[in-house]
Amino acid sequence: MSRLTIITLLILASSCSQDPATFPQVSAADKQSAMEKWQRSCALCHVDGNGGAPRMGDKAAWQSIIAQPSDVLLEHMQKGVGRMPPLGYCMDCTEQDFLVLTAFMAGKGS
Amino acid sequence: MISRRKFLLASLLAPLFASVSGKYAFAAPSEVWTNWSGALSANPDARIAPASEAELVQVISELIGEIRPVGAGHSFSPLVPTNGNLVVLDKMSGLLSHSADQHSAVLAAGTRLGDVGPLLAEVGQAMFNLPDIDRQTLAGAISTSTHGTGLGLKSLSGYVNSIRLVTPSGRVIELDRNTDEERFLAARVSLGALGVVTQVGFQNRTPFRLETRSWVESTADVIASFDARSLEYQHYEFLPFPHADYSVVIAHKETTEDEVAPIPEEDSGDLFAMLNRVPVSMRSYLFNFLLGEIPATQSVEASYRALTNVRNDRFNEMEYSVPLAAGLSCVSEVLEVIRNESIDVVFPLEYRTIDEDDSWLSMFNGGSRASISIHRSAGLDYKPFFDRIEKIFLAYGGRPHWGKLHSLGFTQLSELYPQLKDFVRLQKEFDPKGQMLNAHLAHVLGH
Repeated sequence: MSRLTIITLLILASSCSQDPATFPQVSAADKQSAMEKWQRSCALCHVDGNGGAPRMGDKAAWQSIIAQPSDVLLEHMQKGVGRMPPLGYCMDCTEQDFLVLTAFMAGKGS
Repeated sequence: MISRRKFLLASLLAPLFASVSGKYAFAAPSEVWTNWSGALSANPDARIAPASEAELVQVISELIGEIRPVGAGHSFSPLVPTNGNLVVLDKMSGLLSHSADQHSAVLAAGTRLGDVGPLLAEVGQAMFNLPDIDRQTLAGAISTSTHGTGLGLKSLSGYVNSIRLVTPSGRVIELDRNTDEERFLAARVSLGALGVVTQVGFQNRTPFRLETRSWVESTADVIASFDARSLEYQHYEFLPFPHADYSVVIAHKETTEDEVAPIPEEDSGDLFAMLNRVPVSMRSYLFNFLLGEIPATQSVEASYRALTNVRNDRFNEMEYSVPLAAGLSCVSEVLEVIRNESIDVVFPLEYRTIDEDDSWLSMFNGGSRASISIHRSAGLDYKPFFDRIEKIFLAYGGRPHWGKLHSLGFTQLSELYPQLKDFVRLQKEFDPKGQMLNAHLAHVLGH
């Protein structure tokens, strides 16, 4: 088996993982930056539940979301899911921000 | 799809980028940008989110290659996609100054329309008019001549009385009608092609409440009574359903009555998904039955709440503005073609009217117009439908909305927008290296 095939299989195995999402530990500054983005973007829908968005802190609603692998969550952020538009109105969110904010809204902290 | 490996790689690269970009917020370059409808995407090399105009000035002149600003990503036309530098306006938000005497205010360009109403209300002001979606940023909305509805009311850019932008060379330019009318009228609707807009000054008015009425009525009756009713109401529009005999009518009138909260709307998302699966031949019966069940509603709210709503169902959109006198004939022909040719569409059309303004690239430059929008659910192929209806819009002298889908290039656009060539001249002056132009802008501006 060539090295390229092995690498490809490893990447595929990684991207097909069914493990629940893991959320990054971030510095206080990064957390504050993410919270500013949350206020500008995520809060538009996740406070009042607009469009059926899971409300912040509704642990039951978020449980099935955070049980999904990180790459699935990130794909949903990237392409949109349900009524959430791609990037969730956050044009400057990084992938780390998306995971931090998901953890925050799910009540997991980080 | 973003793999975990790609995410980890991006995390590893982030510190490297931090050292290159210093204190500026460059996002990891592997991240894809996608617009609201999901139809447009790009892989910008850098995503820059300056927190202030001063920060933007410092960083922009160091950027190499294409520069495109993005507001909320609500444009359907490819004004934003770039593989170069994406400048995000989100951090530049809020009320910067106001004049109580003049009822005017200056807001940061990245302020979302939905935040403007409460900010202005705190200083005793309100915007004259608003579009029905309020997620866009001010810069994105004015730069594409985004509008609401109402005879005697202008598009958002028509109320802009000052504007500041930063050119790719880092020069700050402040414009108003008195100091430089030519450049000011070009910059009010600029497609983000002159530089990055940082501040927008608006002529406002005192806060007001609107009584909102909506009802379902025969489209033939709505069209017959349109001219009289659009004078009776301050804001008036109708949404005719294809393959049906009915329209939803939305009418607003200023009032001093106490607030009456609207009844929360039922979620229509599953309904549209279901209707998309119904064969076109059965739509007429089904639509007429369902529309007859929609009750009339009435409410009284602050203007900024009454005029806007949340759009949960994503779609792609084409909109043309035709001379006012031709509007009702045009929308009738569009409905007839959809029905006769059994075009597969469930979203209603939208018919609005807007007063004249003098911004060079405004759809409403030179006279009042009727804007007609057609939609197709996100994820479905919109092109055959839009191509067919675009021919009708063009036959009626329509001008495309800059932020919505159209197929026109510079030659056709310069016939519809008489000052497009003047705009191109100024664009070259503001941006001699053409850094603000992506492929779409180069196409529509004839570069």
